[in-house]
Amino acid sequence: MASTPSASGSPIPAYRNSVMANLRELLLRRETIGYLVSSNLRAGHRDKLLGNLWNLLDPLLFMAVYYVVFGIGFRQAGENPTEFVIYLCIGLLSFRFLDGVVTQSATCIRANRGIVGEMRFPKAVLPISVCLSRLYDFLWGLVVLGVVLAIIGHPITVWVVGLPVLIGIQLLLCMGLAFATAYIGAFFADTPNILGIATRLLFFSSPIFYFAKSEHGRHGIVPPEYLDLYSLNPLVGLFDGYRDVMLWGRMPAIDSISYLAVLSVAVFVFGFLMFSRGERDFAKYL
Amino acid sequence: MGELSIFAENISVKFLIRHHHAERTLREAVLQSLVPSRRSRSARARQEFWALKNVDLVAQRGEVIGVIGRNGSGKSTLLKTLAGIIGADRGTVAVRGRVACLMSFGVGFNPNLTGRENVYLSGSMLGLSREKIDSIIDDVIEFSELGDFAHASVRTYSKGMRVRLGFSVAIHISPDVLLLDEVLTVGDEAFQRKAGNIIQHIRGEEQTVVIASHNMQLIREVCSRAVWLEAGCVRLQGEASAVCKAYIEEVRRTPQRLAAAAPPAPPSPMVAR
Repeated sequence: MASTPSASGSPIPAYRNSVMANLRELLLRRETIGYLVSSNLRAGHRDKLLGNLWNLLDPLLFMAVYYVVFGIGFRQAGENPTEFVIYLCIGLLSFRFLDGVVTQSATCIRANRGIVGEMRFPKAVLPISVCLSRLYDFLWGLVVLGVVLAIIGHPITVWVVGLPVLIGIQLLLCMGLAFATAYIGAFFADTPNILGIATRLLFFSSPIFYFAKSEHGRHGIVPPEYLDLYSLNPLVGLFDGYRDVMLWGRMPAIDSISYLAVLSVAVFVFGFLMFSRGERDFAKYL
Repeated sequence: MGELSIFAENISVKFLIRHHHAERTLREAVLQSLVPSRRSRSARARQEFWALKNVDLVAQRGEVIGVIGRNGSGKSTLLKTLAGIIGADRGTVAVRGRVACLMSFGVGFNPNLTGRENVYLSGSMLGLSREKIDSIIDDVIEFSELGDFAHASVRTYSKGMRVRLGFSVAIHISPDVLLLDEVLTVGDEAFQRKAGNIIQHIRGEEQTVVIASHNMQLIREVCSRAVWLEAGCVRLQGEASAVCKAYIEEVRRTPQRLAAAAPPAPPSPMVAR
């Protein structure tokens, strides 16, 4: 922190761009984040005829489309279609959370160029509010799924207490990715194009509409010798975890969850540091 | 008075100007790192441009300072640097208290929110609590003359309405330092007069104001001091009317050179006055 000498008054603290100052300022901006989240949500839902009903309809329709394509079209549903629908929906909802965060964060600095270029505020509120908006959608999706589960009488076990933990870990991962993609997206105009390809690749290399390993009477499509390599994708552990607590009713595998947690923390720290470093230059290159 | 409000010492701000592509792309960045020969070509394509060079600006609390100069002389960059929106590449910038910055173009509003909601958003971005905004919101809306549009989304606003709302927010949050970039010339005649009055009243009060404008009459009327920027450097700094006079004389003396150096522009108000 630099102070400036002056004859006529007390020294004024100069502008700082340290990570700590950034963090401290962020904590004071909870209200700002709240306004941004509500504007984000509004942008997606307000102008539509069905209004808030979208929160329910959107995940339902979304799940229905994928069920028709993969469950019926590709004949993945097998002997137990209900189980497959739940399996598919859990993966889809969680993936959509991550995909939405990454895609929207890549443009969040540019989309808000009016604010970024005219006010001094911690820019991290932008990717954070993207994450929270998508989290809100995700939670609605889980509510819909929960209602469906209750209606079909799927048993709920004590392991459902693991759900908030998993959501927390995913939120951390998403925030880290949001910071990183927001940073890259601010400087490189073609980021959304490349991310589109990357997330599609991720979609197909994660166990969403197929089973990776053979269990629960299903045929896994990943050859056993490649399973370790395949599991390096943190989403494998994440989706398995969600399914363990919601669908299979058992304890998630500790090793894959700890791998996921450590990686999420690392991504978060890395993303935040990267974002903080670029923050002062955002306004220049818009 | 007497307390230091703005202290900018020897600040320089650098931009990278790119000739080949309008914007940086990841594709290009990846190719550059893989193929060394492309790197040198790209380095040549990028050029440094110093928008501000060793600029000093010191203001006491309560001063109203004008910033004048031709288009591209660094006025907006100076204001943005003082606001902390752009970081100075060299030098120190220090400003005491809350800073509100208002630019003529765009005004940072979220088009999905109503005018009222935007007041809350920008207020909170500038560091105001909800209670504080609650206490000023009615005055803000009234001063901006938005009427029923306060409840319509900003998407539906005309440019003048946005600027009026922005200006209204900026003065009602009572910032310690108010930075105005060619704002007062955007609204209609009546609003301009009202805004001018406000600035007049601020003068000598607690607030420090920096105004960038091409309107010499305004600068002479409301500012105590003026800074004349030319190509990023301070050409002259001092008593407002003297600086304005020198600037106008310079502009009159060299019309040919200016016309040759710059693409044809619509007649600016400064020449007319």
